[in-house]
Amino acid sequence: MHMPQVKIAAILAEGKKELVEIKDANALSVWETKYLGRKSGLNDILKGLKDLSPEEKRVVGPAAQSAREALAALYGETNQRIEREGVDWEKEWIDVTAPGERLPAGHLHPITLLENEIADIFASLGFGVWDGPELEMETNNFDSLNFPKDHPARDMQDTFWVKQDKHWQHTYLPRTHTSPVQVRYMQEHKPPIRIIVPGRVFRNEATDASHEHTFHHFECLMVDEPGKVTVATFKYIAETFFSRFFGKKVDIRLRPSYFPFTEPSFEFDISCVLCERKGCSVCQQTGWLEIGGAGMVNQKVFESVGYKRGAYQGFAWGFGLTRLAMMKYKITDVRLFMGGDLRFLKQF
Amino acid sequence: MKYSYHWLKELSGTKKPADRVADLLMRHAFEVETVESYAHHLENIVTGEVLSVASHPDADRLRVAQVEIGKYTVRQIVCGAPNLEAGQKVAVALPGAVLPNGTVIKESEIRGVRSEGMLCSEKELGLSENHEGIAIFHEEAPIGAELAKYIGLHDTILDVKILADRGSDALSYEGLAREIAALDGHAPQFIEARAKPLKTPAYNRAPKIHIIDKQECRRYVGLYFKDVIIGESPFWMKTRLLVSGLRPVNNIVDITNYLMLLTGQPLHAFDADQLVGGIEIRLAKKGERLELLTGEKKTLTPQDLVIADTKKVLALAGVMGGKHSGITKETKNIFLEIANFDGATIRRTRIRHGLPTDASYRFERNLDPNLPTEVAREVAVLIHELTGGKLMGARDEYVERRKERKIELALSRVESVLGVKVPIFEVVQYLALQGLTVRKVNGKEALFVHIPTRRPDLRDEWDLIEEIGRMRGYDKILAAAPELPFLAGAVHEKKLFERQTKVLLAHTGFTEIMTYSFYGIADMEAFGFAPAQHIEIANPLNPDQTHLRGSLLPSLLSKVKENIRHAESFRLFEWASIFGKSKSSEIRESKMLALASVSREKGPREFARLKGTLENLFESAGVRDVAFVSHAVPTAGDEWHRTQSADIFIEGKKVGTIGTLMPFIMKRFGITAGVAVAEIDTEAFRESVRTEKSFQPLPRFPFAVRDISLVFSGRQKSQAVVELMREVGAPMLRSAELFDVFEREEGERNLAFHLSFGADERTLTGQEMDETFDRIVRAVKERFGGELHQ
Repeated sequence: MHMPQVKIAAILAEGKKELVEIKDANALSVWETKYLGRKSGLNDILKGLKDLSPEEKRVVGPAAQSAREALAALYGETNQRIEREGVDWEKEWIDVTAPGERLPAGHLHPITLLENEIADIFASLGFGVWDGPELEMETNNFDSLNFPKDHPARDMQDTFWVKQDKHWQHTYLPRTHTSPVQVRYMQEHKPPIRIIVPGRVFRNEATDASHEHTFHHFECLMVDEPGKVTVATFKYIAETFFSRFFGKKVDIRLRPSYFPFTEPSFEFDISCVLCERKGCSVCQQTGWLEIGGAGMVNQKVFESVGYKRGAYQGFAWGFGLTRLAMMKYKITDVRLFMGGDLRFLKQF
Repeated sequence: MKYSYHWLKELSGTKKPADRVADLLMRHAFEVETVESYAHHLENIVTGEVLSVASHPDADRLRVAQVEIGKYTVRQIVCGAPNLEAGQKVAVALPGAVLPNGTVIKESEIRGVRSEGMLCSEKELGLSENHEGIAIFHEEAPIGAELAKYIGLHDTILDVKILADRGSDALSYEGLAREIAALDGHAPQFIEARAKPLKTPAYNRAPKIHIIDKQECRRYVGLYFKDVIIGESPFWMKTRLLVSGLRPVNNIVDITNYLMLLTGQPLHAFDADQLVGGIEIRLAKKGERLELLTGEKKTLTPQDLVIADTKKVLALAGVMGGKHSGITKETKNIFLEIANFDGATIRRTRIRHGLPTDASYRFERNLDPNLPTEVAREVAVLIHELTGGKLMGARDEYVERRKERKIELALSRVESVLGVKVPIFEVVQYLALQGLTVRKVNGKEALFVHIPTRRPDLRDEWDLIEEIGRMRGYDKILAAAPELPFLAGAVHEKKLFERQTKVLLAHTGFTEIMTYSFYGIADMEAFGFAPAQHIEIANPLNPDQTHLRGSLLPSLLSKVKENIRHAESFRLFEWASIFGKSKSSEIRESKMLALASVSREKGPREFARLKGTLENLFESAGVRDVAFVSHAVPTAGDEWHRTQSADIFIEGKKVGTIGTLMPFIMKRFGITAGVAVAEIDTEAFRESVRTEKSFQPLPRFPFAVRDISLVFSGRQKSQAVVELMREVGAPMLRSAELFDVFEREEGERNLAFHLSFGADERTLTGQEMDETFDRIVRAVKERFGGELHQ
């Protein structure tokens, strides 16, 4: 065997052996200079190639080169080993189970969350959100909506009234529903109309776990030419809305009802979202949940906003946002909504 | 109204069981709130025949009866009733029975004689007030039958919520039976005009009737009956009243109640011998008094409609009769009223005097003025049959006869509204089943529909379409997507801004609260607000909610107080309306944003925290040019702390105030924690939002930062120093930022700023920077006496 080849084999064996012993980056750096540096044994052999015969060159050159590559690869492996294991992990220990340091987190009111969710679904159906005052004129709250002068809803025990100033031309009241916004919107806009109106409403009612004098309503109005927006359209919009809202197919059931501002009028129920109409405690074994009222806008309401009788047709529907929130989040005491208790609000 | 299923079944002819009838009603007409068995079934009470009666060996008043209650089943019962006789059919309460008054029947020994049950009086059975002896049934009554079944109490009760516009016809057995028959697809079983016209003697003995207030009374029919014998009603009538929730009283009162249930028309009977002269229907005179049937005395107002004779008020029209002219056991002759009153008048009287009655409930819903004609015939027959009374005269004052309405219904509109095609024969069928007369209009796809006066709810085409829709069933209308041109949704800028801002607030640690729009005198006093500026509620629920709030701060502060018990530090906000009076527009309502930053740590630290959040909020929202200026102290009351509050100006316009509140307010609320609050007009805020942005090129040459620390004597406002530095440092000074404040010695304040210098086109030299720096130091010393701190 020729001398250079023996030397190459010895360097390779020695380098490998030394590498196993290395524990830190400094020792590795010394090893690197010794075996892979410019003054290393292998480098010397490679530099000395020029003095060898062509036959020897053919053998020694590739041998030295491959030894060098083998050592370089081993260096890489060892370097990776040291990067991972050359750390005193115990010294670095932290308690990852301790609570994180948080920026103060705020919460939107469940009613606001629900309102936003509803608005987004309706936006996808082409409806915009509208708003109106909470202190409303009697004409908008009642007269224009076809409530007769003597309708019981105008009674003091149902509705809050404001003490009149002598010089006032109008009578005011904290609105009892969001429907006056229909009137205001239609006075300013001609159909087609597709709006929803969420908002705060007031009823003169003593509060307990299931009654509240201040709560949130939601209202939807869609008006177009006769024949375009029908009872069947209402069913479609309502079914689509509730199916999206609850994330599952929801059926709508309409029952006859009476409201001064719609004709025909309905109560509408949705199929129970918990038991899927099998009957459970939430739907009181009926399979249906009572949600709200709806109907085709009474032509008298159209007339009161200046539309010609019979020229337009559409539906209006509304329900309690508060009630829907109670249903959705299984809240059992309605007073929590207006109670401002952080322990309640932080759950949303 | 509570309806007996048996009675409805008999009148309507339906063959459906009660729960199916309820389901039918619910889907097509009215909500049925409950379907329940009649509450008292009189279980373990049977009919029996008294075989023999013997005297009690040890008691004079008691007797011992052997009563057969089934084949070869005889019970021995000790009884004290004076009317007990052999051969009678009686009610036997067996051991285990519970009487309506709660008495539990047991086998017992009465003075040494075994008694295996009890013979019951009508009162004990809950059938009437009669307790003069045991109840005796018809001699052909079966033996051993369940008593409840025999007398018709074995029934199912439907509690039906009649819709507000159907009070005129459906608050009656006949009305609801008509509806059930229609839904069932056939005519009702009762005949609409079954009695013959009234026959009255030539000499009309009924008192003359004078309707004075014709708006309030549309019609008044009065019948005079002679020689009535007041007594018990027959069982069939008593049980009909009982299952419908009314107590039998005597035959006259029972007849009026029975007919009211049957037809919906309330009637009232007066003792004719207590009347003087003619009858007037008029509004009461101020201060007139009336003692009601119940014994209650009422002082009337000129808004109450009354029935009066020439001397006195007899009754509160449509609500309740008076005691003086009421029916008693001694009554011989009666005057019977069948009237029609204005609903609103009756409702107001009912509310004013707190007298909800079965009559007022019906009159309030505006009855059909043609109904008394029919009811008069029926009552004449019943009174004659059941009391022996003879009709001796009748009066009928009808202010303006109500006529049938005619509606033309275009068939195309039916489909246009419902969104489903309904064949013409179906349309005709539905309307006819509802008792409407239908005729096709010649040459047109339209129908002429005659509406009987009992249906004032049917006024126009849409009302008829509702009848067609509900008769057919809304579940037969399938959901159908509209085919309409695209329309971009309406955008309400204010709502959009509200939503975006609320989200920003939640992200900066604020939790949204919603509180009542009302507050009371106590809140106003605590804050020093003048009640006169507020809008007052005429009918508040309680003294804490008498006014519409003119500020969000009182309720915000009370929520701060309530939450402080549970939380170390927290932040709240509310976005809601405040209200007030306005000279130009009568009232004003503005949406405000109120914020609170709270920690248990005392002192004004929260001010800076809240201010920082607001600065962030304004920046995120796109508001520029915000200034916080020491709050201007007004002459009148003010809730803001004099030296720890600032007015917020955007582009020179005041939009709100931030600060701590007056120490006296915090004291009244009992809050010692650090609380900073702010109230901002959301509209002014929104209007100052500038969403347009234009890009500024990034600096090409580096900026150099130098700190400057300045010592001032007294309370130097940092803002003024920054403004001065910017002014004299221009153009090389690019920004000046306060980063530290501390009190050095007594009366000395040290303010430290980061100053950054730079130019757009080159790197500044040290000399240039030094010159600007020195210029700033000189100017601060000259203007504010501030010294450079080494």
